[in-house]
Amino acid sequence: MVSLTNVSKSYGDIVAVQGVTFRILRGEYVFLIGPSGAGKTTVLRLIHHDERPTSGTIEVGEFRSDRVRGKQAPRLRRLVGFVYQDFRLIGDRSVHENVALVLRIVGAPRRTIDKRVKEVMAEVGLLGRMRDRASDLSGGEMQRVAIARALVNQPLLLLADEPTGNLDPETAREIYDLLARVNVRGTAVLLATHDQARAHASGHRVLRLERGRLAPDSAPAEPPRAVVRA
Amino acid sequence: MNSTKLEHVLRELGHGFRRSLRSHLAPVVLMGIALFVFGLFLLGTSNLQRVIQAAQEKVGITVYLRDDAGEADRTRLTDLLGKLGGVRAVRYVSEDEALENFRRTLGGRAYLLEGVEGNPLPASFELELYDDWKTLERIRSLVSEVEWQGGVESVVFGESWVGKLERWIYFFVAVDLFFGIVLGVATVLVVENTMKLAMADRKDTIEVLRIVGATPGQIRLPYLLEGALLGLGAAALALLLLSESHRFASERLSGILFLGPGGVVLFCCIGAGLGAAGTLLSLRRYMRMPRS
Repeated sequence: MVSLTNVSKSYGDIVAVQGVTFRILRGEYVFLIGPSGAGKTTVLRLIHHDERPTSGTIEVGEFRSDRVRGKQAPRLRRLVGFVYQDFRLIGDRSVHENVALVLRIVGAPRRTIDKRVKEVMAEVGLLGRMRDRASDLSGGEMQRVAIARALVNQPLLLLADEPTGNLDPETAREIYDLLARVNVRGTAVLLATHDQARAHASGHRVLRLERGRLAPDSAPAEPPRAVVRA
Repeated sequence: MNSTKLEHVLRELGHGFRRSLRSHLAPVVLMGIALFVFGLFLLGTSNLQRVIQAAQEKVGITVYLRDDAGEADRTRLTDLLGKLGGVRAVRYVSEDEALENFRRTLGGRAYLLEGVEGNPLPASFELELYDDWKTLERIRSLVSEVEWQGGVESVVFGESWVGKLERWIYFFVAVDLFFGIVLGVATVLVVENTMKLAMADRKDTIEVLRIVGATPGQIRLPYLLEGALLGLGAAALALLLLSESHRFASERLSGILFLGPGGVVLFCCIGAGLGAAGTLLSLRRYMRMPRS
């Protein structure tokens, strides 16, 4: 579903990522850990096609990084939901408008938009806040809305870049629980974090980045296994 | 584009205007002032062209006939002069008509002719020229073809003032072109910088749209429409100021024309076009493409 093959990314003389190879299968939950500056965000941005690899290839669904042209990049991004540490909502718009944005862009019928928005808002536990302005929500609520927006178009993969970085520990736990439920329902998750303890305790596959390279103890791929759907 | 996608464009446009009406006032006023100055230049140019055209219409050649020129000379000259390249029309003015015209020119002093015996004025041909022949060089070439013809006494065309008119026309056209380019560039720069400021607080929204998979066209279109509408508003403000300026000037000088309906429409299109173009230029910095 998503595979990186010998991917490197340099910015001038600075090598951010080097020789990274791994796969993520449908329904998997993978942690990408490493200290600040290890290249975690760069890997996520490469998968999301915010950057192009200097060398190597990235496959996301039917798209290959070396063949994606300008007009195809938005279509690729619709396959991949992205949750950011700073939420990245449009603050002066309602929660409903923020979540529905993706579906309006893809031209979904209005009835589908309303139905699907309600579904994901129920999934993140904020069905009653749809008319509120995004900027009026708490940090945890904003992150839930961001997750809802990332899920509403039923992406292949959910990328999360330090999604709990701006949240208190209790709210962070709620977000992790939410992401776990999202994964159980069948969405693959790649979560970048420097919280190594949580990653190892989760029981999920862990990829460790050190100075842009995958550490030797990282498992680049796991054999397919059945995903329990709720 | 289906109805949902169209709805998205209109929603984004609506959000853009609802965000802060006050923040749109500054761009409209700034662009309006720039367009007003440019409009003053356009009005000045169009009125100047009218003055030049009126002066050029007076440019013509008069061929005076000899006193002993007969009917045969007249017929031959009528035919010859009509076939000259550059001559649009030929009008024969008899001695009697010439005297009558002169009497009219004298007006209240026509009594001066009472002491004149007979008619001292010769018959003549008035040659009306095509516009592109109203240059000193071409008029001289026509004169040289005519002045030696039998029956012709002299050929007159106001050589000194035609030369002066030509020099003034070149001067005004050069100055007009220079100011037109300078003001045009200045207007575009003002619009671009104004729209850059207007777009600066949209970069977060543009980033979110990019993240969720909006195409560059879906991101740009609402802002282009917004820029065009702001440009149209600026053009309307400029037209209001120009109209007041025209009224003020008309009370002191006669014959100053304002823009016609076509000119007003063109001016509005220029305003809308500049607003859209300024937005497009200012959006470039936010529409980055992935780099290798």
